[in-house]
Amino acid sequence: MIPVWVLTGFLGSGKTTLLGRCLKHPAFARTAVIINEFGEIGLDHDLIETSEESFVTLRTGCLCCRVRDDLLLTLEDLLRRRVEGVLAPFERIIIETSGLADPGPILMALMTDQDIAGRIALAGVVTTVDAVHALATLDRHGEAIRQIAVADRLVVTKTDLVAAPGEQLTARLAALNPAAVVIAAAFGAVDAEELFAGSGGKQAADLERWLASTPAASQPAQPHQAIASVALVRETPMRAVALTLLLECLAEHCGSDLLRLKGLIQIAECPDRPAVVHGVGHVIEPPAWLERWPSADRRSRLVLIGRKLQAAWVEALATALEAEVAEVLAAGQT
Amino acid sequence: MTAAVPDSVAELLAASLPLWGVSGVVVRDAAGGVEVTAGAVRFSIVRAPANLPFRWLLVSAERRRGVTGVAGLLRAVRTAVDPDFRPLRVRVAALPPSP
Repeated sequence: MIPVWVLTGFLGSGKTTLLGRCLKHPAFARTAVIINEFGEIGLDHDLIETSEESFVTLRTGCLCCRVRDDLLLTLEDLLRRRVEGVLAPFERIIIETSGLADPGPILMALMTDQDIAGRIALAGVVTTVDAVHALATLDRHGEAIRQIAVADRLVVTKTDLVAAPGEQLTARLAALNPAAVVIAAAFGAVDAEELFAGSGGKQAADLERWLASTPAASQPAQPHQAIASVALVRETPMRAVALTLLLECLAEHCGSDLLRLKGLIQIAECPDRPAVVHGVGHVIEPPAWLERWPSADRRSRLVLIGRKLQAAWVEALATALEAEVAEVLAAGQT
Repeated sequence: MTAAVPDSVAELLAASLPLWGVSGVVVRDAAGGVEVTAGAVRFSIVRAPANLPFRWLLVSAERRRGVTGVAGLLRAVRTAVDPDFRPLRVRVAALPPSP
């Protein structure tokens, strides 16, 4: 399957500069790019040097509002032309959203659309954060908050304009999305290969980093923001059915407020291979099994990022479901 | 024998009302069940008789409704107390217990 990366970030946060830099890297020669520009006259794609045939600009409106009309049809078309040999066999797709896009609908469409399922896989979300203006932007624009909350990797841009990302911004990013890898970039310079490597949060190497940044406890919502992260940690393995029920209840009761869910779970029936779970809103992807644990830490860890999430409720839910499953299994053995 | 409604479930229900934005209370009754009151809505949750294929019954003045587990109980309780709730029709596929 072809990995699809979503590159998002608020207006002026340096998405196009970053993408332009990445596309100059030899490793990105086989990359198809879809750019969504808001407005009748697109400029962004003129700022990027890449092969025209694998480059699509969408100017009909904001992607998150026209996912089905524009993005999915464009992806279909790209994949068809690749199969027909019209396009070089690209190995990666990067979608740059408009600066005002809510990435949630885009991610859900990529994860659920039947027509493209099986041919592409959402690899991850890279979000650019302007080191100079981000705090003010976050106070005013909910889209910017959601763009950060769903990210796998946060690229703090324009660090050349400030001495260092301020403590306030660092704390704000950690509160919004403690699980994301944070990378500082000056003049859009980052390790492009590393930034868009593999398949996002499902690679062992990536998980190592992700787990290292997993919060020890849930992060309450800060003033001026309604988004919080909740961490659920289990020292002992979970039964597969308990995890299934947990994910179902989370989707049902928090789905509309759940921006992102990520977890590394030790399943009791298969404790030596961790299951990676990943979800956006109501949609939970089928778990991916890693070959082995990325570190000696074998605790199950589930991180949820969203609005109105309550750590006490998630903990109570998991506890009740685990107790129920244990009781049923015990009854079956008597 | 466990209580009619285990502590873990009673605690979950008590934590659920604020999550759903519902004002109400969840209290234990003398028989080990739970009473839920939210505005004009009031019902009890009791252990279902052994001859029924349910785990618990939601009992109100109007009806009795059986539920088979925690997930179903949450859905039934929220349906009763939260007029804006629409149960999710899509179910998460069972996780294969091994790769």
